[in-house]
Amino acid sequence: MSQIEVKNLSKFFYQAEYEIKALDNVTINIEKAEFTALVGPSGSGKTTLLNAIGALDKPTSGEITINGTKLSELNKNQISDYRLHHIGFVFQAYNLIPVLTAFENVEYVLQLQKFNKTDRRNKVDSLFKEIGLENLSDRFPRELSGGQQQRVAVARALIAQPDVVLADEPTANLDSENSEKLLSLMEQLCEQKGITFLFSTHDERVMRRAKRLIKLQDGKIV
Amino acid sequence: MITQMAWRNLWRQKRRTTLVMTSAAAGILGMIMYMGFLNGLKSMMIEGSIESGLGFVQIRPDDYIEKRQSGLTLPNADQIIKSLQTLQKSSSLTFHFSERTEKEGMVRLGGTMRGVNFLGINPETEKNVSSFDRWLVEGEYLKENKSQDQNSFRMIPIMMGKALARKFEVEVADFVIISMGSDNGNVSYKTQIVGVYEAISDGIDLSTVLLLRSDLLSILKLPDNQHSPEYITLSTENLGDTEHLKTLISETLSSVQNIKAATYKELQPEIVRLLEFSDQFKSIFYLIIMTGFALTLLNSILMSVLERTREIGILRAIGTRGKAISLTLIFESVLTGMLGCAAGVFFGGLLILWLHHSGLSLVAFARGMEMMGKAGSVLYPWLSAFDIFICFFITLSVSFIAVLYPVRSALKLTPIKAIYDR
Repeated sequence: MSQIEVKNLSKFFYQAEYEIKALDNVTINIEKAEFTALVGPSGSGKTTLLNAIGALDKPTSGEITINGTKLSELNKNQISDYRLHHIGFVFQAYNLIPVLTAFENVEYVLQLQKFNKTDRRNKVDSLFKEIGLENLSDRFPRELSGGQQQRVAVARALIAQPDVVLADEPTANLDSENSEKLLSLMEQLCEQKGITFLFSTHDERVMRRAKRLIKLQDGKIV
Repeated sequence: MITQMAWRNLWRQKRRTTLVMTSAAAGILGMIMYMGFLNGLKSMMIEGSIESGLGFVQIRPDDYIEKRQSGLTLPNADQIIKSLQTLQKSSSLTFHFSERTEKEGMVRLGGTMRGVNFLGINPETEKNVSSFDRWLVEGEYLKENKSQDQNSFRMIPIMMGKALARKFEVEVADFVIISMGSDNGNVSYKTQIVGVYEAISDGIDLSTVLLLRSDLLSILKLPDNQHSPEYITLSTENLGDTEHLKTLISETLSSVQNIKAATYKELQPEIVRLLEFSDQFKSIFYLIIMTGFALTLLNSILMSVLERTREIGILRAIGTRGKAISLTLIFESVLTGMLGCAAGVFFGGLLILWLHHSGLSLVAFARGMEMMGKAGSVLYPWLSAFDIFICFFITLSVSFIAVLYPVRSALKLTPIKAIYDR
């Protein structure tokens, strides 16, 4: 059984009387610790597919199963818990909480998981050291560069040791140097910790680093 | 971390938060001032009435309590007085009592005359139940006539209020004529002013003339069997003990027929009505102030939710439950309200404290104050711990209610909508 099973997934949007097929009968399987890139032009359905797998959005039809759990069978709170314990998100625009420091942004996830203060501190300190953020922990997002913010976002996605990290164009706002650093970090974590990475991208450099490419066009896998 | 986030969120928009807190503080300041003034007014009215002779409790004939029939004397007065004296020694509640006889009549001098109430008192015991002795500003307080010779000529001494003395343009040692109806028709006596008092309001000054009860009885030429007092007035150290005192007296005198004990509230129900009215008005006042504050707070939190839509989406996306999002918003609302309330209570409390010591002159409203009973012309506002608790409780409730709609709006946001459709 694959870690992520997407079966006959469709997502339609309606604008006035028009039906927009963001995803049209998509079926894919992704194995554990795969480093997979979703590629395709804008509007091809990459973000929609990531959001559906991350349970941020409900599909119009079809089924997503992760580690044997069918997402359609979970209620609101179970979905929150599923995201908390099994999924890590990295967004294009970093999306850190501006009133929390880098450390607190990452620690927040552990607090949601009810870790005590000492464990939280140890885990965050250790991860920050691992990804080179130890000197930035007391800075607020506005005091960090784009690359630094994205590394904090990756740390936040990884701190709970999720099964899957979903990243929506993680390098889109980064320069080439920071993009390389981020990709190396993601590859390293994928290999060392066995975390499955699924990310959308337009970036040729990123595509070259991916172990598997899934190409989408007009909501279909091509 | 939820409280930390709420606190930091508050100060993201410093100007807006400060404005909302200021509006809460201003509302609470208004409430505090209003509470303080109302408390002061209540005290002034109650104490004014009590100190000017009403007492805390009175023992009266049944018919007076039930039908307000005047001119009655207290049956079994000797037995009542003995029982009260015994009770004074045995009871843990310290109280005082004094017998009184009242009569309506006129004070005349030349072409000037005015209707007054003649209060026949026993000067020594009266000191413990009213404040006329403390209010003395000229001359001396009434003294019991020690002369045993009832036929020897003696001018009847009276004490009158300063406002009345001013009206008649008289002072201590001057004479005035007093007239009143008796069983033998109208009687008039020449009396001498021995003391002038200044009560807390001109209303008392103008309406009450004091004389010895023995003199009043001799003016009225009552037969011996009608020499009983009209009523006995009682007081204790603490206004809060009034009901206790009434119960104690009623139990002690349960064997005495045709008399009843009544509290100042029962004797002057207009005080109770005025207090009830002021409480109702107070509720309306609070409602208006707090509705304004609630709308300001609601608007502020709602704006904050709209500004943070994406952030709320991210929080949901990383696994935050709706409950935690709601709690953050509730904390923000409650913190804003409570800080504003604390500032309002602090500044309002300081103002009330200052006014409590300096007093607030109501001379400009003297006429109106007289209409509100035996209230004085200087108001001393005060606050109780309960009043302050009420301010915090109302603010807490309003802060909670005001945030419900923004919370509902935040919870309706799905992560996907919040993150991408902003």
